[in-house]
Amino acid sequence: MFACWPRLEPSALNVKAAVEQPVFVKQPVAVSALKAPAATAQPIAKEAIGKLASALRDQPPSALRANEDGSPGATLAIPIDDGRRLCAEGLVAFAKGDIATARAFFVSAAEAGDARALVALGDTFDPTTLTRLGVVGLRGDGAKSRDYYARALAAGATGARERLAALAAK
Amino acid sequence: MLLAGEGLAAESKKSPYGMVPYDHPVFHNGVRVLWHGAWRGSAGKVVRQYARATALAPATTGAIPAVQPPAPKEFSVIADPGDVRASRMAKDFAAVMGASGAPGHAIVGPTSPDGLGKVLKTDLADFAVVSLDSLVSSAKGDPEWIKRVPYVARLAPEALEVIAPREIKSINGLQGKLVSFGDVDSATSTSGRMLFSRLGVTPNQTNAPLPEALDALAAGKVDAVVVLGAEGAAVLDDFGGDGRFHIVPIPWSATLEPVYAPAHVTAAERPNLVGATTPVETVAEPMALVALDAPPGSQRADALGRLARIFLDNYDGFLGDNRDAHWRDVNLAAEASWPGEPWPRLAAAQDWLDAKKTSADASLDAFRASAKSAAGSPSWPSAGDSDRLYDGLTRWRGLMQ
Repeated sequence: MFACWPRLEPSALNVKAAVEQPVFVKQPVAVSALKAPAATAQPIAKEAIGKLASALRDQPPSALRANEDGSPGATLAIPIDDGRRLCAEGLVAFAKGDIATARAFFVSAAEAGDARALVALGDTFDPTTLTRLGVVGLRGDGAKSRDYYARALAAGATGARERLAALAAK
Repeated sequence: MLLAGEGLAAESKKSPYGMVPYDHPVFHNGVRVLWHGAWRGSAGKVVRQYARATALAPATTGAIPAVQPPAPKEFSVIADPGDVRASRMAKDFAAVMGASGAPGHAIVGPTSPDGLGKVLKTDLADFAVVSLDSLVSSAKGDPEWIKRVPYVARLAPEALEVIAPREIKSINGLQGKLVSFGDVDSATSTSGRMLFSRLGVTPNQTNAPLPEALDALAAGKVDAVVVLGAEGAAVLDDFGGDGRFHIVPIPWSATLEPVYAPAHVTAAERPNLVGATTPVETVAEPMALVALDAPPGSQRADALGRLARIFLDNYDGFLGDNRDAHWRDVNLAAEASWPGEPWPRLAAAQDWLDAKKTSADASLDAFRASAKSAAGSPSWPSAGDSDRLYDGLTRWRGLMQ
Protein backbone atom coordinates (compact mmCIF):
# COMPACT_ATOMS: atom_id res chain seq x y z
CA MET A 1 0.00 0.00 0.00
CA PHE A 2 1.37 3.33 -0.94
CA ALA A 3 1.55 5.75 1.96
CA CYS A 4 1.77 9.46 1.70
CA TRP A 5 1.80 12.12 4.40
CA PRO A 6 0.36 14.62 4.57
CA ARG A 7 -2.47 13.47 2.44
CA LEU A 8 -2.36 14.86 -1.05
CA GLU A 9 -5.39 16.90 -1.84
CA PRO A 10 -7.63 15.27 -4.43
CA SER A 11 -7.41 18.19 -6.80
CA ALA A 12 -3.65 18.05 -6.68
CA LEU A 13 -3.75 14.37 -7.50
CA ASN A 14 -5.63 15.26 -10.62
CA VAL A 15 -2.58 17.01 -11.93
CA LYS A 16 -1.55 15.10 -14.96
CA ALA A 17 1.63 13.15 -15.01
CA ALA A 18 4.60 14.39 -16.95
CA VAL A 19 3.82 14.73 -20.60
CA GLU A 20 5.92 15.36 -23.59
CA GLN A 21 3.30 17.72 -24.95
CA PRO A 22 -0.41 18.34 -24.39
CA VAL A 23 -2.42 16.13 -26.69
CA PHE A 24 -4.09 19.04 -28.39
CA VAL A 25 -0.87 20.75 -29.29
CA LYS A 26 -0.17 20.72 -32.96
CA GLN A 27 3.15 19.14 -33.74
CA PRO A 28 5.74 21.80 -34.51
CA VAL A 29 5.75 21.98 -38.26
CA ALA A 30 7.69 25.18 -38.57
CA VAL A 31 7.97 27.04 -35.32
CA SER A 32 9.74 29.86 -37.06
CA ALA A 33 6.57 30.53 -38.96
CA LEU A 34 4.60 31.07 -35.76
CA LYS A 35 3.69 34.65 -35.13
CA ALA A 36 3.83 36.00 -31.62
CA PRO A 37 0.78 38.14 -30.99
CA ALA A 38 1.59 41.48 -29.49
CA ALA A 39 5.22 40.59 -29.28
CA THR A 40 6.66 40.52 -32.72
CA ALA A 41 6.80 43.42 -35.07
CA GLN A 42 3.56 43.96 -36.82
CA PRO A 43 3.34 45.62 -40.19
CA ILE A 44 1.90 49.08 -40.03
CA ALA A 45 -0.57 49.44 -42.83
CA LYS A 46 -0.17 52.22 -45.34
CA GLU A 47 -3.55 53.48 -44.15
CA ALA A 48 -2.13 53.83 -40.65
CA ILE A 49 0.77 55.90 -41.94
CA GLY A 50 -1.72 58.09 -43.76
CA LYS A 51 -3.81 58.39 -40.63
CA LEU A 52 -0.95 59.43 -38.44
CA ALA A 53 0.44 61.86 -41.02
CA SER A 54 -2.97 63.50 -41.23
CA ALA A 55 -3.38 63.48 -37.49
CA LEU A 56 -0.02 65.14 -37.02
CA ARG A 57 -1.21 67.96 -39.21
CA ASP A 58 -4.10 68.35 -36.74
CA GLN A 59 -6.64 67.81 -39.43
CA PRO A 60 -10.09 66.53 -38.45
CA PRO A 61 -10.93 62.97 -39.49
CA SER A 62 -13.22 64.25 -42.21
CA ALA A 63 -10.26 65.93 -43.87
CA LEU A 64 -8.33 62.69 -44.21
CA ARG A 65 -7.27 62.12 -47.75
CA ALA A 66 -8.70 59.36 -49.82
CA ASN A 67 -6.57 56.27 -50.26
CA GLU A 68 -4.57 55.75 -53.43
CA ASP A 69 -7.21 53.45 -54.82
CA GLY A 70 -9.80 56.19 -54.52
CA SER A 71 -11.67 54.63 -51.62
CA PRO A 72 -12.57 56.95 -48.76
CA GLY A 73 -9.80 57.43 -46.21
CA ALA A 74 -10.23 55.54 -42.96
CA THR A 75 -11.53 57.60 -40.09
CA LEU A 76 -9.22 58.15 -37.15
CA ALA A 77 -10.91 55.94 -34.59
CA ILE A 78 -8.65 56.96 -31.70
CA PRO A 79 -7.84 60.59 -30.97
CA ILE A 80 -4.20 61.60 -31.15
CA ASP A 81 -3.94 61.88 -27.36
CA ASP A 82 -4.69 58.20 -27.04
CA GLY A 83 -1.81 57.54 -29.38
CA ARG A 84 0.50 59.59 -27.19
CA ARG A 85 -0.74 57.78 -24.11
CA LEU A 86 -0.11 54.41 -25.71
CA CYS A 87 3.33 55.63 -26.70
CA ALA A 88 3.96 56.66 -23.08
CA GLU A 89 3.03 53.16 -21.89
CA GLY A 90 5.39 51.72 -24.46
CA LEU A 91 8.21 53.98 -23.34
CA VAL A 92 7.75 52.92 -19.71
CA ALA A 93 7.86 49.26 -20.74
CA PHE A 94 10.92 50.00 -22.88
CA ALA A 95 12.67 51.70 -19.95
CA LYS A 96 12.02 48.59 -17.85
CA GLY A 97 13.49 46.44 -20.59
CA ASP A 98 10.17 44.78 -21.38
CA ILE A 99 10.74 44.93 -25.11
CA ALA A 100 7.87 42.66 -26.14
CA THR A 101 5.31 44.74 -24.26
CA ALA A 102 6.86 47.97 -25.50
CA ARG A 103 6.53 46.80 -29.10
CA ALA A 104 2.84 45.99 -28.59
CA PHE A 105 2.17 49.49 -27.25
CA PHE A 106 4.23 51.20 -29.96
CA VAL A 107 2.37 49.34 -32.72
CA SER A 108 -0.97 50.48 -31.28
CA ALA A 109 0.34 54.01 -30.72
CA ALA A 110 1.52 54.24 -34.33
CA GLU A 111 -1.83 52.99 -35.56
CA ALA A 112 -3.48 55.60 -33.35
CA GLY A 113 -1.51 58.34 -35.02
CA ASP A 114 1.67 58.90 -33.02
CA ALA A 115 4.55 58.90 -35.51
CA ARG A 116 7.13 58.94 -32.71
CA ALA A 117 6.02 55.40 -31.88
CA LEU A 118 7.49 54.27 -35.22
CA VAL A 119 10.86 55.68 -34.19
CA ALA A 120 10.60 53.98 -30.80
CA LEU A 121 9.52 50.76 -32.52
CA GLY A 122 12.66 50.94 -34.63
CA ASP A 123 14.65 51.40 -31.44
CA THR A 124 13.24 48.13 -30.05
CA PHE A 125 14.89 46.32 -32.98
CA ASP A 126 18.06 48.41 -33.24
CA PRO A 127 20.98 46.19 -32.15
CA THR A 128 23.01 49.13 -30.84
CA THR A 129 20.11 50.48 -28.79
CA LEU A 130 19.34 47.09 -27.31
CA THR A 131 22.95 46.56 -26.31
CA ARG A 132 23.15 49.95 -24.65
CA LEU A 133 19.86 49.31 -22.90
CA GLY A 134 21.42 46.22 -21.31
CA VAL A 135 19.17 43.76 -23.07
CA VAL A 136 20.20 40.13 -22.54
CA GLY A 137 19.02 37.22 -24.66
CA LEU A 138 16.86 39.07 -27.17
CA ARG A 139 18.64 39.85 -30.43
CA GLY A 140 18.27 42.96 -32.52
CA ASP A 141 17.18 43.03 -36.13
CA GLY A 142 18.82 45.78 -38.17
CA ALA A 143 16.54 45.29 -41.17
CA LYS A 144 13.35 45.70 -39.14
CA SER A 145 14.83 48.65 -37.33
CA ARG A 146 15.72 50.33 -40.62
CA ASP A 147 12.23 49.64 -41.94
CA TYR A 148 10.51 51.30 -38.98
CA TYR A 149 12.87 54.29 -39.06
CA ALA A 150 12.14 54.74 -42.77
CA ARG A 151 8.40 54.70 -42.11
CA ALA A 152 8.86 57.18 -39.29
CA LEU A 153 10.86 59.42 -41.61
CA ALA A 154 8.12 59.23 -44.22
CA ALA A 155 5.60 60.22 -41.55
CA GLY A 156 7.74 63.20 -40.59
CA ALA A 157 8.87 62.02 -37.17
CA THR A 158 11.90 63.78 -35.73
CA GLY A 159 14.93 61.67 -34.94
CA ALA A 160 14.28 59.09 -37.62
CA ARG A 161 16.80 60.50 -40.10
CA GLU A 162 19.63 60.50 -37.53
CA ARG A 163 18.88 56.96 -36.51
CA LEU A 164 18.86 55.77 -40.12
CA ALA A 165 22.22 57.41 -40.65
CA ALA A 166 23.64 55.85 -37.49
CA LEU A 167 22.37 52.44 -38.54
CA ALA A 168 23.88 52.84 -42.01
CA ALA A 169 27.23 53.81 -40.49
CA LYS A 170 27.49 50.50 -38.60
CA MET B 1 10.97 17.12 -8.36
CA LEU B 2 14.21 18.74 -7.48
CA LEU B 3 16.13 17.48 -4.54
CA ALA B 4 19.26 19.43 -3.90
CA GLY B 5 21.99 16.87 -4.33
CA GLU B 6 24.70 18.82 -2.59
CA GLY B 7 22.41 19.72 0.27
CA LEU B 8 21.44 16.15 0.80
CA ALA B 9 25.01 15.05 0.74
CA ALA B 10 25.86 17.64 3.35
CA GLU B 11 22.99 16.48 5.54
CA SER B 12 24.07 12.89 5.19
CA LYS B 13 27.61 13.75 6.20
CA LYS B 14 26.44 15.55 9.30
CA SER B 15 24.38 12.66 10.57
CA PRO B 16 23.62 9.09 9.71
CA TYR B 17 20.05 10.19 9.82
CA GLY B 18 18.68 12.55 7.29
CA MET B 19 16.29 13.03 4.51
CA VAL B 20 15.03 10.43 2.14
CA PRO B 21 16.33 11.15 -1.32
CA TYR B 22 14.42 9.83 -4.30
CA ASP B 23 16.31 9.35 -7.50
CA HIS B 24 13.21 8.73 -9.57
CA PRO B 25 9.65 10.02 -9.72
CA VAL B 26 7.16 8.15 -7.54
CA PHE B 27 3.87 7.24 -9.11
CA HIS B 28 0.63 6.27 -7.44
CA ASN B 29 -2.36 5.22 -9.52
CA GLY B 30 -0.66 6.68 -12.54
CA VAL B 31 -0.12 10.07 -10.93
CA ARG B 32 3.27 11.33 -9.95
CA VAL B 33 3.39 11.99 -6.22
CA LEU B 34 6.21 12.78 -3.84
CA TRP B 35 6.80 12.82 -0.16
CA HIS B 36 5.84 16.18 1.20
CA GLY B 37 8.70 17.97 2.90
CA ALA B 38 11.00 14.99 2.82
CA TRP B 39 13.92 17.03 1.59
CA ARG B 40 13.22 20.09 3.64
CA GLY B 41 15.18 19.10 6.67
CA SER B 42 12.78 17.20 8.88
CA ALA B 43 14.69 14.78 11.05
CA GLY B 44 14.05 11.48 9.41
CA LYS B 45 14.35 7.98 10.73
CA VAL B 46 16.79 5.56 9.27
CA VAL B 47 17.62 6.43 5.72
CA ARG B 48 17.38 3.27 3.73
CA GLN B 49 19.53 4.46 0.87
CA TYR B 50 22.13 5.62 3.36
CA ALA B 51 21.91 2.21 5.04
CA ARG B 52 22.62 0.53 1.72
CA ALA B 53 25.58 2.79 1.15
CA THR B 54 27.06 2.04 4.57
CA ALA B 55 26.59 -1.68 4.07
CA LEU B 56 28.68 -1.52 0.92
CA ALA B 57 31.30 0.83 2.31
CA PRO B 58 34.43 -0.47 4.08
CA ALA B 59 33.87 -0.70 7.81
CA THR B 60 35.41 2.15 9.77
CA THR B 61 35.22 2.57 13.47
CA GLY B 62 34.02 5.80 15.00
CA ALA B 63 33.79 7.68 11.75
CA ILE B 64 30.85 8.46 9.58
CA PRO B 65 31.47 6.80 6.26
CA ALA B 66 31.57 9.02 3.22
CA VAL B 67 28.48 8.88 1.08
CA GLN B 68 28.52 9.68 -2.56
CA PRO B 69 26.24 12.62 -3.19
CA PRO B 70 23.14 11.46 -4.99
CA ALA B 71 22.77 12.48 -8.57
CA PRO B 72 20.88 15.75 -8.97
CA LYS B 73 17.19 15.10 -9.01
CA GLU B 74 14.99 16.06 -11.87
CA PHE B 75 13.18 19.34 -11.68
CA SER B 76 9.72 19.93 -13.05
CA VAL B 77 8.18 22.99 -14.63
CA ILE B 78 4.42 23.42 -14.67
CA ALA B 79 2.16 25.24 -17.13
CA ASP B 80 -1.56 25.69 -17.57
CA PRO B 81 -2.91 22.89 -19.81
CA GLY B 82 -5.20 25.37 -21.60
CA ASP B 83 -2.32 27.73 -22.28
CA VAL B 84 -0.71 25.94 -25.17
CA ARG B 85 2.04 28.51 -25.57
CA ALA B 86 3.02 28.23 -21.89
CA SER B 87 2.94 24.43 -22.15
CA ARG B 88 5.19 24.57 -25.19
CA MET B 89 7.59 26.93 -23.44
CA ALA B 90 7.66 24.64 -20.41
CA LYS B 91 8.52 21.75 -22.70
CA ASP B 92 11.29 23.82 -24.30
CA PHE B 93 12.58 24.72 -20.86
CA ALA B 94 12.83 21.07 -19.86
CA ALA B 95 14.44 20.12 -23.16
CA VAL B 96 17.13 22.81 -23.18
CA MET B 97 17.88 22.34 -19.50
CA GLY B 98 18.17 18.58 -20.06
CA ALA B 99 20.59 19.15 -22.91
CA SER B 100 22.57 21.41 -20.57
CA GLY B 101 23.00 18.73 -17.93
CA ALA B 102 20.00 19.54 -15.74
CA PRO B 103 17.36 16.89 -16.42
CA GLY B 104 13.76 17.76 -15.81
CA HIS B 105 10.34 17.56 -17.32
CA ALA B 106 7.31 19.67 -18.10
CA ILE B 107 3.95 18.96 -16.57
CA VAL B 108 0.60 20.57 -17.10
CA GLY B 109 -1.48 21.52 -14.11
CA PRO B 110 -3.18 24.30 -12.18
CA THR B 111 -1.38 27.63 -12.25
CA SER B 112 -3.95 29.95 -10.72
CA PRO B 113 -2.98 31.22 -7.26
CA ASP B 114 -5.17 28.53 -5.66
CA GLY B 115 -3.77 25.91 -8.00
CA LEU B 116 -0.19 26.92 -7.33
CA GLY B 117 -0.96 26.90 -3.61
CA LYS B 118 -1.82 23.22 -3.93
CA VAL B 119 1.27 22.63 -6.04
CA LEU B 120 3.39 24.22 -3.31
CA LYS B 121 1.85 22.02 -0.64
CA THR B 122 2.58 18.88 -2.60
CA ASP B 123 5.98 19.77 -4.06
CA LEU B 124 4.78 18.93 -7.53
CA ALA B 125 6.81 21.52 -9.39
CA ASP B 126 9.87 23.75 -9.07
CA PHE B 127 9.20 26.32 -11.78
CA ALA B 128 6.07 27.60 -13.46
CA VAL B 129 5.20 29.53 -16.60
CA VAL B 130 2.45 31.75 -15.30
CA SER B 131 0.38 34.85 -15.83
CA LEU B 132 1.69 37.61 -13.56
CA ASP B 133 -1.78 39.10 -13.34
CA SER B 134 -3.03 35.90 -11.84
CA LEU B 135 -0.22 35.85 -9.26
CA VAL B 136 -0.78 39.49 -8.36
CA SER B 137 -4.36 38.73 -7.42
CA SER B 138 -3.04 36.42 -4.73
CA ALA B 139 -0.29 38.81 -3.61
CA LYS B 140 -2.91 41.38 -2.74
CA GLY B 141 -4.37 38.99 -0.20
CA ASP B 142 -1.01 37.84 1.16
CA PRO B 143 2.01 40.15 0.75
CA GLU B 144 4.31 37.28 1.72
CA TRP B 145 3.17 35.35 -1.32
CA ILE B 146 5.39 37.17 -3.77
CA LYS B 147 8.48 36.28 -1.75
CA ARG B 148 7.69 32.61 -2.27
CA VAL B 149 7.39 32.89 -6.04
CA PRO B 150 10.28 35.05 -7.26
CA TYR B 151 10.53 35.36 -11.02
CA VAL B 152 13.48 34.14 -13.03
CA ALA B 153 12.59 35.91 -16.27
CA ARG B 154 9.78 38.04 -17.54
CA LEU B 155 8.29 36.48 -20.67
CA ALA B 156 6.50 38.02 -23.62
CA PRO B 157 2.78 38.71 -23.09
CA GLU B 158 0.20 36.22 -24.33
CA ALA B 159 -3.01 37.11 -26.13
CA LEU B 160 -6.28 36.41 -24.37
CA GLU B 161 -9.12 35.62 -26.75
CA VAL B 162 -12.88 35.37 -26.26
CA ILE B 163 -14.57 33.12 -28.83
CA ALA B 164 -18.33 33.46 -29.28
CA PRO B 165 -21.07 33.22 -31.91
CA ARG B 166 -21.03 36.09 -34.41
CA GLU B 167 -24.32 37.39 -32.97
CA ILE B 168 -22.35 38.54 -29.92
CA LYS B 169 -20.79 41.70 -31.29
CA SER B 170 -19.08 43.05 -28.18
CA ILE B 171 -17.81 41.88 -24.82
CA ASN B 172 -20.80 43.61 -23.19
CA GLY B 173 -23.02 41.18 -25.05
CA LEU B 174 -21.77 38.46 -22.70
CA GLN B 175 -23.38 40.05 -19.65
CA GLY B 176 -25.30 37.27 -17.89
CA LYS B 177 -24.31 34.69 -20.53
CA LEU B 178 -22.60 31.38 -19.79
CA VAL B 179 -18.86 31.69 -20.42
CA SER B 180 -16.30 28.88 -20.12
CA PHE B 181 -13.02 29.93 -18.52
CA GLY B 182 -10.77 26.93 -19.08
CA ASP B 183 -9.83 24.32 -16.52
CA VAL B 184 -10.64 24.73 -12.85
CA ASP B 185 -7.73 26.41 -11.02
CA SER B 186 -6.13 27.40 -14.30
CA ALA B 187 -4.49 30.75 -14.97
CA THR B 188 -6.89 31.13 -17.88
CA SER B 189 -9.78 30.93 -15.43
CA THR B 190 -8.34 33.50 -13.02
CA SER B 191 -7.10 35.87 -15.72
CA GLY B 192 -10.30 35.62 -17.74
CA ARG B 193 -12.49 36.36 -14.76
CA MET B 194 -10.30 39.33 -13.80
CA LEU B 195 -10.50 40.71 -17.34
CA PHE B 196 -14.29 40.52 -17.38
CA SER B 197 -14.40 42.17 -13.95
CA ARG B 198 -12.21 45.05 -15.17
CA LEU B 199 -14.46 45.47 -18.19
CA GLY B 200 -17.52 45.61 -15.93
CA VAL B 201 -19.10 42.53 -17.49
CA THR B 202 -20.51 39.79 -15.25
CA PRO B 203 -21.08 36.51 -17.08
CA ASN B 204 -22.16 33.21 -15.57
CA GLN B 205 -19.01 31.19 -15.22
CA THR B 206 -18.24 27.60 -15.98
CA ASN B 207 -14.99 25.67 -16.32
CA ALA B 208 -13.95 23.00 -18.77
CA PRO B 209 -10.80 21.99 -20.64
CA LEU B 210 -10.45 23.73 -23.99
CA PRO B 211 -11.52 20.83 -26.27
CA GLU B 212 -14.64 20.19 -24.18
CA ALA B 213 -15.43 23.89 -23.95
CA LEU B 214 -15.25 24.27 -27.73
CA ASP B 215 -17.53 21.26 -28.18
CA ALA B 216 -20.00 22.88 -25.77
CA LEU B 217 -19.77 26.17 -27.68
CA ALA B 218 -20.42 24.43 -30.98
CA ALA B 219 -23.42 22.66 -29.44
CA GLY B 220 -24.82 25.92 -28.04
CA LYS B 221 -24.39 24.83 -24.44
CA VAL B 222 -22.13 27.77 -23.58
CA ASP B 223 -22.13 31.27 -25.06
CA ALA B 224 -18.40 31.94 -25.16
CA VAL B 225 -15.00 30.38 -24.43
CA VAL B 226 -12.02 32.27 -23.03
CA VAL B 227 -8.57 31.08 -24.13
CA LEU B 228 -5.12 32.26 -23.13
CA GLY B 229 -1.98 31.67 -25.18
CA ALA B 230 -3.76 29.24 -27.47
CA GLU B 231 -1.57 29.87 -30.50
CA GLY B 232 -0.77 26.60 -32.17
CA ALA B 233 -3.61 24.73 -30.50
CA ALA B 234 -4.77 22.28 -33.15
CA VAL B 235 -8.17 21.98 -31.53
CA LEU B 236 -8.68 25.73 -31.99
CA ASP B 237 -7.22 25.86 -35.48
CA ASP B 238 -9.82 23.34 -36.57
CA PHE B 239 -12.70 25.11 -34.83
CA GLY B 240 -15.23 27.41 -36.48
CA GLY B 241 -14.93 26.22 -40.05
CA ASP B 242 -18.68 26.71 -40.47
CA GLY B 243 -18.29 30.46 -39.99
CA ARG B 244 -20.67 30.70 -37.03
CA PHE B 245 -18.08 31.99 -34.55
CA HIS B 246 -15.61 34.83 -34.20
CA ILE B 247 -13.25 36.41 -31.72
CA VAL B 248 -15.05 39.09 -29.77
CA PRO B 249 -13.12 42.39 -29.99
CA ILE B 250 -11.83 43.93 -26.77
CA PRO B 251 -11.13 47.56 -27.68
CA TRP B 252 -8.23 49.13 -25.81
CA SER B 253 -9.24 51.40 -22.97
CA ALA B 254 -7.55 53.23 -20.14
CA THR B 255 -8.88 50.73 -17.58
CA LEU B 256 -6.77 48.01 -19.21
CA GLU B 257 -3.48 49.94 -19.21
CA PRO B 258 -2.08 49.03 -15.78
CA VAL B 259 -2.10 45.31 -16.51
CA TYR B 260 -2.36 44.35 -20.14
CA ALA B 261 -0.65 45.07 -23.42
CA PRO B 262 -2.68 45.65 -26.57
CA ALA B 263 -2.78 42.74 -29.00
CA HIS B 264 -4.25 41.91 -32.37
CA VAL B 265 -5.37 38.56 -33.70
CA THR B 266 -5.13 38.25 -37.47
CA ALA B 267 -6.76 36.04 -40.06
CA ALA B 268 -3.41 34.34 -40.55
CA GLU B 269 -3.58 33.15 -36.96
CA ARG B 270 -7.30 32.35 -36.82
CA PRO B 271 -8.58 31.98 -40.39
CA ASN B 272 -11.92 30.59 -39.22
CA LEU B 273 -12.54 33.25 -36.60
CA VAL B 274 -11.11 36.51 -37.95
CA GLY B 275 -12.05 38.34 -41.14
CA ALA B 276 -9.44 38.45 -43.88
CA THR B 277 -8.92 42.21 -43.80
CA THR B 278 -9.49 43.39 -40.26
CA PRO B 279 -7.45 42.12 -37.30
CA VAL B 280 -9.37 41.82 -34.06
CA GLU B 281 -8.28 43.90 -31.09
CA THR B 282 -7.77 42.06 -27.83
CA VAL B 283 -5.42 42.19 -24.84
CA ALA B 284 -2.27 40.30 -23.87
CA GLU B 285 -1.45 39.01 -20.39
CA PRO B 286 1.91 39.64 -18.73
CA MET B 287 3.77 36.34 -18.29
CA ALA B 288 6.78 35.16 -16.33
CA LEU B 289 8.90 32.14 -15.51
CA VAL B 290 8.83 31.87 -11.72
CA ALA B 291 10.52 29.67 -9.12
CA LEU B 292 8.06 28.04 -6.75
CA ASP B 293 8.36 28.20 -3.00
CA ALA B 294 11.79 29.79 -3.03
CA PRO B 295 11.82 32.59 -0.45
CA PRO B 296 15.07 34.58 -0.20
CA GLY B 297 17.82 32.85 1.76
CA SER B 298 16.17 29.45 1.79
CA GLN B 299 17.96 26.25 0.87
CA ARG B 300 15.41 25.74 -1.87
CA ALA B 301 16.13 29.19 -3.33
CA ASP B 302 19.80 28.17 -3.54
CA ALA B 303 18.94 24.88 -5.23
CA LEU B 304 16.60 26.49 -7.74
CA GLY B 305 19.13 29.28 -8.19
CA ARG B 306 21.66 26.76 -9.50
CA LEU B 307 19.11 25.66 -12.08
CA ALA B 308 18.27 29.27 -12.93
CA ARG B 309 21.93 29.93 -13.69
CA ILE B 310 22.01 26.92 -16.02
CA PHE B 311 18.93 28.35 -17.76
CA LEU B 312 20.56 31.76 -18.16
CA ASP B 313 23.95 30.39 -19.19
CA ASN B 314 22.37 28.30 -21.92
CA TYR B 315 19.76 30.75 -23.15
CA ASP B 316 21.01 30.54 -26.74
CA GLY B 317 19.46 27.09 -26.82
CA PHE B 318 16.03 28.73 -26.63
CA LEU B 319 16.58 30.94 -29.65
CA GLY B 320 16.52 28.26 -32.34
CA ASP B 321 13.73 27.78 -34.83
CA ASN B 322 12.75 24.55 -33.11
CA ARG B 323 11.76 26.48 -29.96
CA ASP B 324 8.68 28.58 -29.30
CA ALA B 325 8.92 31.97 -30.99
CA HIS B 326 8.20 33.80 -27.75
CA TRP B 327 11.63 32.89 -26.37
CA ARG B 328 13.09 35.16 -29.02
CA ASP B 329 11.13 38.10 -27.62
CA VAL B 330 12.43 37.70 -24.08
CA ASN B 331 14.85 40.19 -22.58
CA LEU B 332 16.24 38.28 -19.63
CA ALA B 333 17.00 41.56 -17.90
CA ALA B 334 13.40 42.84 -18.13
CA GLU B 335 11.89 43.69 -14.80
CA ALA B 336 8.55 42.48 -13.52
CA SER B 337 6.40 44.46 -11.17
CA TRP B 338 2.96 44.57 -9.68
CA PRO B 339 1.09 47.78 -8.96
CA GLY B 340 3.23 49.87 -6.65
CA GLU B 341 5.89 47.25 -5.96
CA PRO B 342 8.63 45.47 -7.87
CA TRP B 343 8.24 41.73 -8.10
CA PRO B 344 11.34 40.08 -6.55
CA ARG B 345 13.68 38.19 -8.82
CA LEU B 346 15.32 34.96 -7.69
CA ALA B 347 18.59 36.09 -6.10
CA ALA B 348 20.80 33.83 -8.22
CA ALA B 349 19.20 35.14 -11.42
CA GLN B 350 19.61 38.73 -10.25
CA ASP B 351 23.28 38.11 -9.40
CA TRP B 352 23.81 36.59 -12.84
CA LEU B 353 22.28 39.66 -14.51
CA ASP B 354 24.19 42.08 -12.28
CA ALA B 355 27.44 40.48 -13.44
CA LYS B 356 26.41 41.22 -17.03
CA LYS B 357 25.70 44.89 -16.43
CA THR B 358 27.57 47.32 -18.59
CA SER B 359 29.19 50.52 -17.40
CA ALA B 360 27.08 53.28 -15.93
CA ASP B 361 25.14 55.43 -18.36
CA ALA B 362 23.83 58.63 -16.77
CA SER B 363 21.45 59.52 -19.61
CA LEU B 364 19.97 56.03 -19.62
CA ASP B 365 19.55 56.21 -15.85
CA ALA B 366 17.80 59.56 -16.27
CA PHE B 367 15.46 58.10 -18.89
CA ARG B 368 14.64 55.17 -16.63
CA ALA B 369 14.11 57.44 -13.63
CA SER B 370 11.73 59.68 -15.57
CA ALA B 371 9.80 56.61 -16.75
CA LYS B 372 9.50 55.30 -13.20
CA SER B 373 8.48 58.70 -11.90
CA ALA B 374 5.93 59.25 -14.65
CA ALA B 375 4.36 55.82 -14.21
CA GLY B 376 3.98 56.47 -10.49
CA SER B 377 2.31 59.85 -10.83
CA PRO B 378 -1.41 60.18 -10.08
CA SER B 379 -2.13 61.68 -13.48
CA TRP B 380 -0.40 58.88 -15.36
CA PRO B 381 -0.47 58.51 -18.24
CA SER B 382 -0.88 61.98 -19.69
CA ALA B 383 0.13 63.33 -23.06
CA GLY B 384 2.70 65.46 -21.24
CA ASP B 385 4.27 62.32 -19.76
CA SER B 386 4.52 60.93 -23.26
CA ASP B 387 6.35 64.02 -24.50
CA ARG B 388 8.77 64.06 -21.56
CA LEU B 389 9.55 60.37 -21.92
CA TYR B 390 10.10 60.65 -25.65
CA ASP B 391 12.43 63.60 -25.04
CA GLY B 392 14.33 61.45 -22.55
CA LEU B 393 14.63 58.67 -25.11
CA THR B 394 15.81 61.13 -27.74
CA ARG B 395 18.44 62.59 -25.41
CA TRP B 396 19.75 59.16 -24.53
CA ARG B 397 19.82 58.04 -28.18
CA GLY B 398 21.44 61.32 -29.18
CA LEU B 399 24.23 60.83 -26.69
CA MET B 400 24.76 57.31 -27.95
CA GLN B 401 25.57 58.52 -31.46
